[in-house]
Amino acid sequence: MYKVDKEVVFCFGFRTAFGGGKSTGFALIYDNLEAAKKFEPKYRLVRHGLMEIKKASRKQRKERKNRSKKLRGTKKAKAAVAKK
Amino acid sequence: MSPSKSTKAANAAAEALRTDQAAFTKHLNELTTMFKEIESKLKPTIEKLDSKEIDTSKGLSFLEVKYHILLEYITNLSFVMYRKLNGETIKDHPAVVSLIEQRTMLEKMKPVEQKLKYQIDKLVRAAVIGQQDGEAQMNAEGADPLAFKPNPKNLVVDNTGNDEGDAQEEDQEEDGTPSTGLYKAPKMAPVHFEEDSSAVAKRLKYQARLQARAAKSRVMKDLVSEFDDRPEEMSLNNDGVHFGMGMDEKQLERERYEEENFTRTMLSKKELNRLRKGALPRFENEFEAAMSRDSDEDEDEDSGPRGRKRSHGDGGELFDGLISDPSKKRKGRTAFDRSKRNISRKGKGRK
Repeated sequence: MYKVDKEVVFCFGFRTAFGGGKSTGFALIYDNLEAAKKFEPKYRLVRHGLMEIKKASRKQRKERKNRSKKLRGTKKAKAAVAKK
Repeated sequence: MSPSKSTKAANAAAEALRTDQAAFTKHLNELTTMFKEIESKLKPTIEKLDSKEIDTSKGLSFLEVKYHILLEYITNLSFVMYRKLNGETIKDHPAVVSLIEQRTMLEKMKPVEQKLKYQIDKLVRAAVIGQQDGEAQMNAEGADPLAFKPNPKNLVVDNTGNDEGDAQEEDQEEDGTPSTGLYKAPKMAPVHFEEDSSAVAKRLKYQARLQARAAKSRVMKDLVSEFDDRPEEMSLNNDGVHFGMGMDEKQLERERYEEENFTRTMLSKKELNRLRKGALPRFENEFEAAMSRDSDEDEDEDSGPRGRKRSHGDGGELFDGLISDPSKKRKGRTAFDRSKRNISRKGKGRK
């Protein structure tokens, strides 16, 4: 309908109507990929494969949290850097 | 310089004296003529009083006090003038003190007089009319009380020295004509007094709620659609499903909000269950559904949404004549169900 590439179209929020057979949702169409990368939230970019969110493993995240529980204030940031 | 000045002052003083003297003599002459007049006018009244023609026992005692005070005032004043003429000082003389007293009393009586003015005028008029109609004196006195009406202005300020009332009985006739053109019904029937305004608000709210409920009812809608000349609308809301208990409007509102704000709202668990559980078909009663099934015009519309949850049972052949609304079924909540549960407790109710 709008004659753009598939990669600038981002759709989300789909809800299936009662009884099945139809789903309703939203779609956003950007002018170019740079604008899309600037404005879209990270999770949607990840869905499209344009971005990868790197995070530490779950266990490490929890350990870091438990370490920082013993500290107060700016030392928490210091401790995160140090122990890593 | 000084002698001319002193002579000038003396000349000025002499001039002043002469003008004063002229004015004084003129005033004196006026006084004498006035006294003669007053004497001539008062003579008949004094004669009447002496012959007891007029009864002064029913007069306003307030005015009597005024006369007495005035007399004393005048006496003291003349005494003071006499002393001044003779060149004696009036400083610290008891006459002056009493003068001041009487002056203040007179001035205090002035506002009371103002309030009594209306009544005194009426009395005087009544007396005059009574005198004129010789034989109709009693009638005048009897008729006049009806013409006395209370002056609300007198009621506004509290009366301090008002001791009349022995003069004449006054009928407190109500002024029945309203000033504005609007007719206000008289409040005659007793109504329950609600001191607490929250009760009033509660009652109003309850009434408003009743009205809203009545307006929403099916009967009203049918009546309105019967007499309304707008074309009928059959809309397919919610893709042909109908949730009971006002969920339809809520759904529509939610849809509108979502589309406007480009977001999705989160449904609570209760709402989710309700949506998943009890979706009725589009028709609002069994007869409509049965008729449409018979006529078979839009079959595609019906079969789609009702694919999965056919809580009504399949087809119109098994219509058993009972109008039952699954969404309105109160499972275990009716009094009958409760009493069934409480059989073992011998009908005592929940533990």
